[in-house]
Amino acid sequence: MSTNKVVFEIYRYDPESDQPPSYDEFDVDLDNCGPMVLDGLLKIKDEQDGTLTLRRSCREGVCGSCAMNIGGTNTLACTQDIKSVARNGRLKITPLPHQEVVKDLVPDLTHFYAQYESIQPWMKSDTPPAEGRERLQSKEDREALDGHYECILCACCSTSCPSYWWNSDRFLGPAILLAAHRWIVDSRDEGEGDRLDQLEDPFRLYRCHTIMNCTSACPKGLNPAKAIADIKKRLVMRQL
Amino acid sequence: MSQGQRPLSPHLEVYRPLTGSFTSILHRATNAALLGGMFVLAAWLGSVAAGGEVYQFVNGLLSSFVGRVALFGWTFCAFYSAAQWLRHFCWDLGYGFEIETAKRTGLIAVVCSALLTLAVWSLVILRGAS
Repeated sequence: MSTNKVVFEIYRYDPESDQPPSYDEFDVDLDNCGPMVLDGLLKIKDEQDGTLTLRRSCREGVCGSCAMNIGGTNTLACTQDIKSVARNGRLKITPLPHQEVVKDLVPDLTHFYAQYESIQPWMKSDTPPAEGRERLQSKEDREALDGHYECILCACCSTSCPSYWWNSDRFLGPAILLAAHRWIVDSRDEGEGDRLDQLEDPFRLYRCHTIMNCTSACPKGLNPAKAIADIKKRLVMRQL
Repeated sequence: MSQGQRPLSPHLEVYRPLTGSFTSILHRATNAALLGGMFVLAAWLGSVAAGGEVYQFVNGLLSSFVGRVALFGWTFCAFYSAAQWLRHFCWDLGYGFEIETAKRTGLIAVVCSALLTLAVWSLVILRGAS
């Protein structure tokens, strides 16, 4: 074995056995492996243990499937290089935190998606578009959507948030609130009032205590904490 | 599909502590301590009103070594709580959300609270000596 190796310590859970979750260790030779964590995981799955279960698809940070906790921080396995997160030749990998585990690194995101649906992530407008054409937007209005549309709903931010861990049954969490903000700031959307009404709730919105784990975790460099603060600000401003 | 109870993935025990989570949990802890301190303050004020032996007793407790350590702690809590209030005020106005900025303001909040606490207690000790 080469000296350039990293021990992957991976969370395992098999729903078909009676065993509680445990950790398995796998040696990965970096001289003979792609640079990213996903490369390492797939190498393990190909060569050492075919039962290792994880989600992955695009392998370039646009699908959000391979979100997991890597070395203590949520991120995408496909865009995280092994060398910069491995410490003392070791790397611990667990599923997204505080989620029900389907198998190994696969969490059940049913609730997360249901919360996304609850904010009605589609354009709401009573005014019909001008005859025979699309709804126009100025360059500035379009720029308001920057920092929102890039979200891939990987759930790295929401599952990094301690408030979401303790209150995910009622708190919407950073990803969903960022998505809600995306529609609130859209110049073509006419549902801002209804959207704010729906969010004005001690749990849905106000469990955010600006811990900012979300912004630290986002693999796309977005800032959910700032978006949430803007929602809070709009709720105050409309009272004035 | 689901075979009864699915396990919950690890969270608190695996997540790396970050400046933001540290300053937030410290804020909560200091506020809890201040809540307790409010009762002590009320008891001390009550003893001032009662006067005599009651005051002697309560004031004696607070002047003891343990009492002073507790007061030192509460001083830090008060400064830190004020610093966090300022951070939250800026956040509520929409400023300070870049990760590097938030890290820096968090560090400043902790360090300044500690320095101000030391400054106040240096004064207390110097005045006490003279």
